[in-house]
Parts: sequence; structure tokens; C-alpha cells
Amino acid sequence: MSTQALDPVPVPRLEEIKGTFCMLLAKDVRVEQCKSYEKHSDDGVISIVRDDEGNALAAVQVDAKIAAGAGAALTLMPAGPVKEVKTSADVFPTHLENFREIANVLAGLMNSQSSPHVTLGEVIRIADGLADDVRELRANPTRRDVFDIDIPGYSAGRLYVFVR
Amino acid sequence: MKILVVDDSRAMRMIVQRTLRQAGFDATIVEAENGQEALDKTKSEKPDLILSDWNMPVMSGIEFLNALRGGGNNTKFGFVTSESTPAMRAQAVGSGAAFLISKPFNADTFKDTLNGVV
Repeated sequence: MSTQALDPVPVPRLEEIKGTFCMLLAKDVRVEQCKSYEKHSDDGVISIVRDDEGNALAAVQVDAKIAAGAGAALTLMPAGPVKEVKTSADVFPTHLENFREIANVLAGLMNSQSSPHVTLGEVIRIADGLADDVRELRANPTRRDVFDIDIPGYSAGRLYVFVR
Repeated sequence: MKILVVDDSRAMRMIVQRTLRQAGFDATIVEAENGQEALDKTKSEKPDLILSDWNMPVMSGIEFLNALRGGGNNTKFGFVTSESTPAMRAQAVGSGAAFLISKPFNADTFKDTLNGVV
């Protein structure tokens, strides 16, 4: 499918993001639109959302401690190790794998009848390096939304949505 | 009641089971990681209901459903998937699925959907 003349992929609504975290973590996760935002964090875990031709049309970035906290809470793992996470390099593979479930649901919410069909691509630690197309998307999105997230008992931080 | 939960993600299978419990369904749960394994377990376990993801390796959910119906098995079947376009819904129903639950879901979603089916 050509991406020409189609709408940009939709950004998940706040209640959809909250619903996703609450459903998957079975916790009352607090999600709020961030009002005092200047620049996205340089580090974190980023999920790339690609169209059927492999183009990076959107990305969802979370702070490392959110990826770790959500990944741990998803399968009721202890919160202790999450508190030690400082950078994306500290995020355990198991936490990263679990976080992919959340990213997958969020990617599903980025489909509409008027926009290109997209699916979740790679979920990576930014510390491991980004491909050029993802760097470009983060640097020059057409839309960028930011949310504050608090996972009770685990961690709090930010979630950024970038749309090409 | 026996329910076969099919998803390549262990975490998601766990979440579906948890949501079934929260929705009040006291069922024996059987798990499968893909459509092929689910096809085999449908024959051996004879579930009353199948809840399947759509996108899975080896054999997708829709391929599983088509193989099931093609073999004459009419076990009640629903999709639980992160993607649910109108085209997918039409394909699911056309292949014999009773419903398609899109993620994110909650216990009420399961209650409302499954109570009309089982």
C-alpha cells in the first residue's frame, strides 16, 4: 500500500494508553498528558512502528525505568531491580521482552482506516544504537505527544509518541 | 468448561487467563503457542472455547481457524488481538469466528462478549 495521500498514523488517546497499561499490568496506572515538556530524553527504550513496506512511521519511547517497571509488573516480578535502573543499558532482557507486549498493543492502536497499516517492529534500548530512519523520526516528527506515567509500586517516568 | 488460549506470548496468555478469572469464568485453561500447536491441542483436549491471537509464527490465528473449520471442527472460536480492522473482522466472521476482542480489553469486555457465546 502506498503511504501517499493517506493520513498520518493516529497517536493513541490518553485513555487508550491508560487502558493498555491498566489491562496488561492489572494495576491502576496513572497516565496524564505532560504539560511541561521541552525535549524528549536521549535515553530510554524505543518501539518502532512500521508500515507494510518497512518504513518507520511512528515510534513510542519510554524512560528506561518505565520499560523496566512495566516489564516487571506485567509478570509480577519484584520491583527491587527496577529501582536500580538508571539507563536503558540496565533494562533486563526479560523486562524488555515483556515490555514488547505493551508496545505491541500500543502499535495496534496506531491503525485507522485512513492511515497506512502499521505493525510493531523492533523494540530496542537506545543505548544499543538507533538506525538512521529512527533517528530522523525522533529528530523531526510531524507530531509528538508526551505522557507522564506512574506504575504503582514500580516506577514513574515519561512516554513519548513520535509520528512521521 | 475448558478454554484453549492461543498466543505466542507467554505473558499475554497469562493476562488472558487472569482476565477470564476476573470476569468470573471458572475454566480449565489449556495453552498453545501457535496455530499448529493449537490445532493439535484442539484434537487432544477438546476445549469448549478457543481464544486465539491473530499474528503468530508457524501458523497464524486465521490459518488455524480455517484449518479447524476445514476439518469439520465447530468449536466456538474468538480472536483476542491487538489489531482489529474492519477487514480482519469480516475475514474472522467469514471464517467462522464468533467474535473478535481487541486489546486493550478488561474483565467487562470479556464478560460482555463471552456471556453471549458460552
